[in-house]
Amino acid sequence: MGYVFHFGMIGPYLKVLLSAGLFTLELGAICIIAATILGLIIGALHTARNATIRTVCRSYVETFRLTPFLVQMLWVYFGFPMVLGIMITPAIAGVVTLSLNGAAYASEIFRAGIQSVPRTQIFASLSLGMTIPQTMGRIVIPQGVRIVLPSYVNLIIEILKDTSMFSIIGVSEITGLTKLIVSETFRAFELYTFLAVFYLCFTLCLGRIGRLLETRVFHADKI
Amino acid sequence: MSYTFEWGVFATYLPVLFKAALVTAETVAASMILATIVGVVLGVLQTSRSALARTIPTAYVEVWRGVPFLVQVLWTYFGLPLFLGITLPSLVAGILSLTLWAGAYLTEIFRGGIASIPITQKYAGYALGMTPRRVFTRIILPQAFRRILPPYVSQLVVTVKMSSILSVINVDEITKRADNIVVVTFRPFEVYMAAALVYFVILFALAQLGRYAEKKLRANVLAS
Repeated sequence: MGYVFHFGMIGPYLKVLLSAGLFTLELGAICIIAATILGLIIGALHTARNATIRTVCRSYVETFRLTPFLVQMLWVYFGFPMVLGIMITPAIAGVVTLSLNGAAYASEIFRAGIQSVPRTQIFASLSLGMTIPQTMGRIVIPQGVRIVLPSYVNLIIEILKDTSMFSIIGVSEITGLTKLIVSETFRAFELYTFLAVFYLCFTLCLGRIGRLLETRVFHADKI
Repeated sequence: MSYTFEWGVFATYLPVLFKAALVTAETVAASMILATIVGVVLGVLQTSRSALARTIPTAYVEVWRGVPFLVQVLWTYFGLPLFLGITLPSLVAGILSLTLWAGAYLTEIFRGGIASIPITQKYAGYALGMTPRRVFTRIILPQAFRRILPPYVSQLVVTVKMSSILSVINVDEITKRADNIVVVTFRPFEVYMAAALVYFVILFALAQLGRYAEKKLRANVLAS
């Protein structure tokens, strides 16, 4: 146990590390937005009356949820350029795969939210003379959001963490850059601890914000 | 779009990847058994009345769930041995990191399971003259285990998926084997698709099993 810590060695690299950290956050944000939009569409289609549409949605969700994200990403990054005869950068391959993967999870969350509001409430509000947008805005969405919020915040955290896997196909986000610096300095313990703390800051904050929203804004504890 | 899908490559290497699934299965089994022990102990500790006894598991859960698994793997395989002055074989580092990661999620699952049992059950046990330990092992735990089963199975599914990340530190499981085959055949599209199929078959079976167990349990609970 004669290990001498040398956390000071991070100092000169701090600036590049933090700009790579910003890149991680940007990648995460793009994936979260894309996954949310796609997830809303698939989740809504999943509640459709048409059985074929539901089967297509079901297959999409199951395929993405029952295979590892890493394999999906390797398949997209290494496989697709050969099939389509085009070049894609690692960052684009990562973002596309993570968005599609996140959308599968998001759609299940949103579907649960939509289905959590009983049909009878919709009928009731329509018979009271409310328009469909009013019914959605005043009856369905406020109740659905409370159900969806905790899982949705979790999904955001998972997507942010999953961007670290982009480093495997060579994206220089913060994990990739840290790996590179480790190979130069051999200070694996200090650098990976720093990296863990970086992610922890954001995931813990997001978790706290989520809980605050649940209790203070949507009063999920009062239903 | 002049790409021809090489069914030959797909068919030749699919059995090879299914064989590699054994390594994945062993790694996941070892990790899940150890993680279950971690989860039960810390989950029980989290329901204790002592604030200090609750802090340690809570901090552990927050940290291990908040850091990407890939970072944990890199930290365990490259960082920890430097710090401890030892060498860690990749399989050991893989099982260790997978155990600690899954342990954090299982701690939460076990805590939730124990907390979901109504406190009146405890009082009833005491009223019948049972000791606290007896109440816990005979009344609380058996009921908690039943409720834990569905999330436990989903955790198992996620653990199998996460084990693919161990390919980064050269654990010879499905994904690593697929990487090696890609290097030789230069057919990533077919090979990774075969790997995905292997995972899909395993995980679909597991998920189905979980659904079946859940249905059985629900029927049991309704009957009793």
